[in-house]
Amino acid sequence: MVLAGDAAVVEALRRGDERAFAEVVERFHPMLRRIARGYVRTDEAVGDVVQETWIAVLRGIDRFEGRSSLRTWVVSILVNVARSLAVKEARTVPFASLGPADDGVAGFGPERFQGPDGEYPGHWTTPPTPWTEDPEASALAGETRSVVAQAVAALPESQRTVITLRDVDGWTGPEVAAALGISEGNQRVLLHRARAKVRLALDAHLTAGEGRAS
Amino acid sequence: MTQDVPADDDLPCTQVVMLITDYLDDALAPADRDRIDEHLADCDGCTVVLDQFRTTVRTTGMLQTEDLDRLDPGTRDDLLGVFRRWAAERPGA
Repeated sequence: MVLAGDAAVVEALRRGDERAFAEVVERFHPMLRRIARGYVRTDEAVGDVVQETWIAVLRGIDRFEGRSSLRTWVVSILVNVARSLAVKEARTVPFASLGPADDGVAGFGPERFQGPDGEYPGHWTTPPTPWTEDPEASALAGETRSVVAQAVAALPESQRTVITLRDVDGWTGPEVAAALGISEGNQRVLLHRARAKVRLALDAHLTAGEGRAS
Repeated sequence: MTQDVPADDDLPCTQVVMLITDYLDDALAPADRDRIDEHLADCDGCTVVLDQFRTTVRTTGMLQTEDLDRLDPGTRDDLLGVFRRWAAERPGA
């Protein structure tokens, strides 16, 4: 689907073009739900935040001046709506906490590295071996894609939100940090943990049948 | 590229692996980045990890938003209803 530029979309919305609205909803809605989940607890509250956001977007559409992208503007409205609802829910913003550290080193067990008494502490004892198959090629076929989708779905919420915004939606680190109200450093910690688990899932998938997992 | 004897000031592989995302984001101080580059030049294992992280990022990027979060038809209809009411109440509508 080729999307019209922001200016054309905004113009269509101002004219009351329902198809333009349906397209914008299709494009932004999943992303808005992901961000909202960072602020409020229940699915119902997530739905409320996103619906309130769309209402506020429509009410404010005449004020949109195109100084930021439409996406950035809509997300900033969502964050305001979500924050005020989160206050009512008396919820602390969850992304502020990184949660417990994961075991091992980015998905590699501690036994993969030399211990403090080794000749070269912290260096590989069992280095990973390269993948012989290109997962991008097989991702097109669908099977690898569902492995990745499942791995992403299984992530803790904060990690799932960050990896989806960064690696699926293509946001920059600073954009994600601002939308979620976290530091860029914490954003990267969450992203690293998420990528480590997806890498591990891909590794298990690609080396299945070879009798090893690297 | 071989598994050489590490230099005295070489970073441990554990640290390099933990910094891969910072490295890919270019979020490291130049001196730290240089140390990782030097390490990678001599370490096959960490080079494999870097390649696999890059591949993981690209493969994740092939997911479509609908693989992860589908807009259900009920919500879509609700929002179109919101839009129609808004459009009908607009001045000049």
